[in-house]
Amino acid sequence: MSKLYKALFVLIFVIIVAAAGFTFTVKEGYSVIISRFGKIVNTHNDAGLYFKLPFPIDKVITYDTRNQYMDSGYNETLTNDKINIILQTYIVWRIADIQKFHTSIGSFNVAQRHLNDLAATAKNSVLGNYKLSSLVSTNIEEIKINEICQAIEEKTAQSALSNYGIEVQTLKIKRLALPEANIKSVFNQMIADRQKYVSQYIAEGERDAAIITGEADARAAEIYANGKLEASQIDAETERMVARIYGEAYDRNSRLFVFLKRLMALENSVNADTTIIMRANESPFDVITGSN
Amino acid sequence: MTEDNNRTQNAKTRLFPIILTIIAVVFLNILAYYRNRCLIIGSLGSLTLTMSIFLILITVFYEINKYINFDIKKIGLFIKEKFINKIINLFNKIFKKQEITIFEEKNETTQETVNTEETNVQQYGLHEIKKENVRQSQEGVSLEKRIFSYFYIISFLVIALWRVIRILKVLPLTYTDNYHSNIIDAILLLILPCIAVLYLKLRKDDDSCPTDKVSHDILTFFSYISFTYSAVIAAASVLKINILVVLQWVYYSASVYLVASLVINILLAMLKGNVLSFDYSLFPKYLLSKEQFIQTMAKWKVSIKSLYTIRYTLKILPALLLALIFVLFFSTSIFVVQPHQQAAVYHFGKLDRSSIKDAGLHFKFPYPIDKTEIYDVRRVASMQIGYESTGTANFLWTQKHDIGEYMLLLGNGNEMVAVNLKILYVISDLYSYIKTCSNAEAVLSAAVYNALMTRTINTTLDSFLNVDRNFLSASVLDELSAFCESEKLGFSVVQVVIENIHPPVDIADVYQNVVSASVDKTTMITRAHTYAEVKVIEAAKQSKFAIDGARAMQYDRTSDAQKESAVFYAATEAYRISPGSYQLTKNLEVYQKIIKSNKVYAFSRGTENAISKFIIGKVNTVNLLDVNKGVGNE
Repeated sequence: MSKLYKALFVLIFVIIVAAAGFTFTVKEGYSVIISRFGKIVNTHNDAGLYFKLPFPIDKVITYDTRNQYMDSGYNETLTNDKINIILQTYIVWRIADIQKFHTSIGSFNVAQRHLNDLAATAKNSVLGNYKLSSLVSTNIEEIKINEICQAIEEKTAQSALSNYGIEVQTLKIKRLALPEANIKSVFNQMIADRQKYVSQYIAEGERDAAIITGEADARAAEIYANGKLEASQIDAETERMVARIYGEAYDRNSRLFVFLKRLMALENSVNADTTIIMRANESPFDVITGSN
Repeated sequence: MTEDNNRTQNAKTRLFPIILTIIAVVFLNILAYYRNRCLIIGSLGSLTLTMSIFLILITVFYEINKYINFDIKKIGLFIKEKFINKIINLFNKIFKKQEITIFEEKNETTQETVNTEETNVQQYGLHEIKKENVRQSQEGVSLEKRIFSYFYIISFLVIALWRVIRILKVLPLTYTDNYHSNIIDAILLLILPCIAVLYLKLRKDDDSCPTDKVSHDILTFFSYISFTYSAVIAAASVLKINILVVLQWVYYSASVYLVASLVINILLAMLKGNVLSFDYSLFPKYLLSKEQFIQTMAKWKVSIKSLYTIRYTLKILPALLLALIFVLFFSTSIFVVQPHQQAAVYHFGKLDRSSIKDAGLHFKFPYPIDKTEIYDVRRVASMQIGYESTGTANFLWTQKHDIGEYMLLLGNGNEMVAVNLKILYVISDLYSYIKTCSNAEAVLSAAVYNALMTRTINTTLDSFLNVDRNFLSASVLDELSAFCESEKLGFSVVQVVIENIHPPVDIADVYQNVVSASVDKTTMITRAHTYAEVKVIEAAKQSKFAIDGARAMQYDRTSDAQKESAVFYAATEAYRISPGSYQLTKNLEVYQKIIKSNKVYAFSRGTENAISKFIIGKVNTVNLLDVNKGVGNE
């Protein structure tokens, strides 16, 4: 390997060591603490290139100072009217005082746990002053949810800033819920409410159907009765017409009319199965017996 | 004594390439396993395994051959005579040609080759070129030696076939893995060629053992492949471009080349009759003529017969490394932003609005002065609200939507509702998106939940189920847009899609029962209407039937009466002529009619009591007719 190459490799090595050991960069949105043998000697909140002494003399500790998001845990609390309610809030926070944050917490996970505790405490104390109708109500004037959020945020923010160097940007309620046991009751109530509609619909249906069928029966009976009446009238008229015809015939010769009618009746009253029993000494058999 | 020491030293150093390649196989497979079964590194391991197997085989056969101490060239000669000449003779017989003596031609060819090589030694000054004349003899070839040579060739071919199949199976024809930032892989891979080169530099090669030459070639080849792999992985990692696809073809070509070169060398050796001479090379002597090859090597001042190649490689290696470092360093100054992307360029960590770059080719200071982060800003992203999605979901009331659903408490405090939304959004301000919040998506998601909650806490379920979805969607969109702007999230909400609003899944069936009951009500009423219509129609039909029947009866009866009257009026005329005659005639007519088809019992006076005896069993009425009186005599 020639001297030139050796020199170049040495130069590259030196540049790398110098860059890695004596400088560091702070990225946009981040802040840095320089600790020298454990003692904080400097902080940098602006992005850029900075110098330090190489490890292990100076240690660079970087924190993301942008807004952080966290969901608080579900917090069951009692309202002023002794109703259990579950609140889930979300918090947008950022590191405001990096030295205080580093010394008091030093970790984002721990910070979120502490914030969750602060928020839970604030929720309990604030919600004790409000009724459930301040959170949920069909009367919009009763709802004071913004006021409640504001109160919880103020209590949490004050403590977070003074104790941990954390600035709470936003604290809002993400979700309102009821405890599991209450949810079952709510479900039962909702079921009963809906069952009322089911029964109502069925009853209405049966009622309307009965009315319709009843009316139909009456209407049918009326129509049939009218028909029968008209048929009876026709029958009566028929009787009159027939009687008039027969009457006219009777008036012409009543004796003959009766004679023919009786013959006709006799003829009609005998059929093929009729057995006729007659006296032998009477007409026409008297001709045979010689009785006449 | 010195010669013995050298041989011992060579035997020891001969084992080193085998050990090195076996270690490389283990190392590469472990590396591939811990890099999510990285196919590229795994395939390099497979290639290395092939090399090590060949190295072992060559060494084993060489040692066995040395142990049984016979002239290996006789085997080649024997194979040639026994097989190749017989085949040629067979062809000659078939095509009725004169037999060609391959031996003589081959002898001449071999002699010419040796002469040419000697000339080259003088002409180009290359050193240590030695070539033994091939002796052709058919004597002294035992059966064991023949079997040994067959076994040797078959072993080579079987292994070659096995590895080719394996290589093609392992070959990553579909490139799916993500290799960016695996710069550590490249560094680890660089260790392999460095060890190989170091070994080659330190080894004292006296060319006494052909295994040394083959291992030299294999290790050199292996070094180049490993170096190429590491360079490509490093370049891809730094440049963040997907050029690693090339690797599979590099690997494919190398694998095929390696196997093909060994197989062709074996075939060439067979034809030359020196199968067990181990005179194989990985470099393409069979592609160029030997003269051309040596001339080419000499032009490059490279000799494969000496350590000069290694020395030359070592000489240019620092320059290559430096060139590679500078190329990689300055290549980080270039970056490409796709049309759907924007890039944030951090200058020593600083970022301002002018550092946001749109689509196109851009230049920056090399890494680590400037660092680039590229975001898909124009791709519409979606966010599922209301349940935790695991993929495609069906929005049915009675089925849980994926993992879990959020239920919102309604205004009366005793009802709950579930809402499924999808938020479509894009990054409209990359600078704000990067600078303001570490997890802007989560903040937006929370804002959506908050917006939904504020819309449900003052209403009832019935009202909310019947809410105008378009209005709800528009109002949420407006609120979220204002929120993104006020909080400087850098998002622009494109659309709010309301997928579903429904009661809690656990009781959704009850709500469906309401609908069922409503439908049942309508059904009952419809059926009643149907019954009513049928009933009225039936009544009308019967009424009409009765009236028509009466009318028909009227017609019948009046016509009968009129007909009867007409007959009566006619009879009146007849009667007027002779009433008695008429009556008698009529009586007798009727009498004849009624007794014509009936049983008639005539009995004497005083025998009435015996009537039943004659007519027992008869069901008909017994008519006692006083004929003497007559019908009309009353």
